[in-house]
Amino acid sequence: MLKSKLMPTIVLSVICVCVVAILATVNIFTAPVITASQEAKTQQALLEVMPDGGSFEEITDRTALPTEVTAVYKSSNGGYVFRMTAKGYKTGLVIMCGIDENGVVTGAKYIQSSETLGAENELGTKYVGKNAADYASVDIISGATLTCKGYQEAISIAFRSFEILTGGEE
Amino acid sequence: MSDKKKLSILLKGIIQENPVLILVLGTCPTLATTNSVISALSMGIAATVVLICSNLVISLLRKIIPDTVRIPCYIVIIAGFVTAVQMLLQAYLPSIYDMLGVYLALIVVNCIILGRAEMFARKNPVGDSILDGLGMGIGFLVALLIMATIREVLGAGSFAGFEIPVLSQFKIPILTQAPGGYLVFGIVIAVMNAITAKQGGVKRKSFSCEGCAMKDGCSKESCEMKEKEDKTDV
Repeated sequence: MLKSKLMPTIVLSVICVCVVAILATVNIFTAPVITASQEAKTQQALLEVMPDGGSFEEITDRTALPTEVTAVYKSSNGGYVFRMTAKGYKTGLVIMCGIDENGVVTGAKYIQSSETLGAENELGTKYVGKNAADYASVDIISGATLTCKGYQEAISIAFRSFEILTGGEE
Repeated sequence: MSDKKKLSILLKGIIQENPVLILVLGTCPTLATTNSVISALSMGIAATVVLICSNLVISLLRKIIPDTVRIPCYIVIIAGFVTAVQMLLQAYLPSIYDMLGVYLALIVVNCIILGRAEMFARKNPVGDSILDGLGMGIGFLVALLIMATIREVLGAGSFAGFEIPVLSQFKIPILTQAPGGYLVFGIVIAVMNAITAKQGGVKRKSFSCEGCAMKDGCSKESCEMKEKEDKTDV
């Protein structure tokens, strides 16, 4: 009777071990390729926001920055790209904004949003070329006031973070 | 076994026992991935690969796996293959990986795969099981492509991403969403039934208790009632 309970357990265990071994082998080959392509994807997304950025490196220590900033990348030309989460009409408006070494916005785009009007695309382009002094003067798009305010909030966070990062270096 | 019999194992999965349109298995990925032809093609090929591999292994091990743990063993084997396919796609074809999304992992619980393992692979030799897997997989792929062509051409005015000049003006967008999907599904099954009825009816899934995992606890009430019905009809 013990054998009839033991055999199934043994067979199942052996099958599990074999499957795990095979998967581990496949993983050895695929894991590096996957990491490399994810890296490439991130770099490409960063280049969209800062076309002249060259190459980017993530800065993992964000303790000095506002909590809304979820990622910071430093470009090889001295600029920074910030990813932040702001609140427009709804929470969860994720925006990436690139500010070059002179404090001028090189690009801004949304990554995720549940905003209703879909104005986020337009808004991004309006901020290009603005610096810390005049970004607040970007017009509100009628019908999307809260989205615009959320966007502006995000850009101001980006500038504040830029200040913190470059202020500290000087 | 004669060649003709082998050929019929292969072909039955495509028409007479098409898993999606006749056996009505695997409807979840069918509805989810047929809003575009490319995603239907990817899902069909991925599921076919897993189906052939799992049928092969389960048929190889059919004399070793004890009856009491057969379902867990089958699931571990199927999940192993699906995971391997996931990893390979994510590494070498990431755009297809992103397109299939969560439905790639859901191939593990695709009823077609576990169903064929239970109904065919565990009772038949390796060669036949491979043919059965191939046939069912092709049937799945064909059904997906039919649905996807209808939904993408009429719903989005394009085919495999290429816009069709006149039709793209007259899109019916709901076809690419869930309600439209169900509608198309129902119509395709109805048409399929009509076509196969002319050929003298389709081999229905036989209702025997043999393969069922729940036979010990089943009261068999409805089966007995149906038997009485059938007898009075005759």
